[in-house]
Amino acid sequence: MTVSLFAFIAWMTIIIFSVIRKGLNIFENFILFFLITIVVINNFTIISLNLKLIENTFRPDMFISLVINRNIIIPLCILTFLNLLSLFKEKLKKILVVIITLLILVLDELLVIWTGLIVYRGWNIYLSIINLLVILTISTLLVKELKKLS
Amino acid sequence: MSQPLVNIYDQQFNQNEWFTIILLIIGIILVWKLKDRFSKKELITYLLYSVFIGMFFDHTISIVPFDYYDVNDLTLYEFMDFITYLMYGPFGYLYIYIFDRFKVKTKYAPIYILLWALVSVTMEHIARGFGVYHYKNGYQIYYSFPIYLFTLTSNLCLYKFLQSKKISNQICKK
Repeated sequence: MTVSLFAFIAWMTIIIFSVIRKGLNIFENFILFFLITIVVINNFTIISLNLKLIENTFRPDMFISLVINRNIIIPLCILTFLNLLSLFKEKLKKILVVIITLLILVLDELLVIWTGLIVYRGWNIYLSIINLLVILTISTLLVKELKKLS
Repeated sequence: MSQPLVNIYDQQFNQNEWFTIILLIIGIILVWKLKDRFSKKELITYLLYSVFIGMFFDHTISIVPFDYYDVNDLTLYEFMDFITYLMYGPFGYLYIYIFDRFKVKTKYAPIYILLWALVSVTMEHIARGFGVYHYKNGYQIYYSFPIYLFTLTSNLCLYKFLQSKKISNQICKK
């Protein structure tokens, strides 16, 4: 059931990303997707494997849900955020995009906990929020650097 | 849930680290010396794809619950492991570069992919000999072969997709 749920959420994320107007070109989108996924994977592994602050599920079927979340849902959410941020010129719209993206990512994290994919061992949701804000900031800076390559 | 065992394979800066660093340097020199065939953004895309896909598989099947192998000195994730993933980038780029340079026809792509998969498995075997990879829980080198087939095929699909987008953008501009 968990795999179906996360597969459905991944599908929705892909559809939403496909239909939105994009502020970045295809190469920028691919580069950012790969970079964001690399950052998310590293982040995930360091916190769980090295620092042992989060414990992952040991069940292979549920781990697949975690992989879908880590490799598709989170990076595509962030990529959608970056495209919308590049598209909108008004400050209010940009702030709204940041808030909505952060809300979606936090809800996603709560869902991951609720379905039992991860257990906090010395970690908490506030640290996750800070973590997500750092990732969103790094991603935004990466866009600025990529634009300079044009 | 209980935490996985941490294996320590060695604690010195030795052959596995040097193998990775030397290969990375060779890869960087190759990319730098090869004649420009792609734009900067295309180059970065192809370099990053191999790093991304290598990291994806290594951080999926080499950690619990699968835990089929460890990379370098420890079960834990180290900076040297990250350098190992960077090593994949130039060789992934070389794979695409040769395909593009010699204009390999699509009908020969399966043979091209097979050859590169065999090269990749050979390199993995050599790397394992230098202590870069440590197999666990029944993992065998031939399990890597279909993984390489998948990654190489998807890499070529990415190349074909991006080339077709480039061509259609050029047609639109006209």
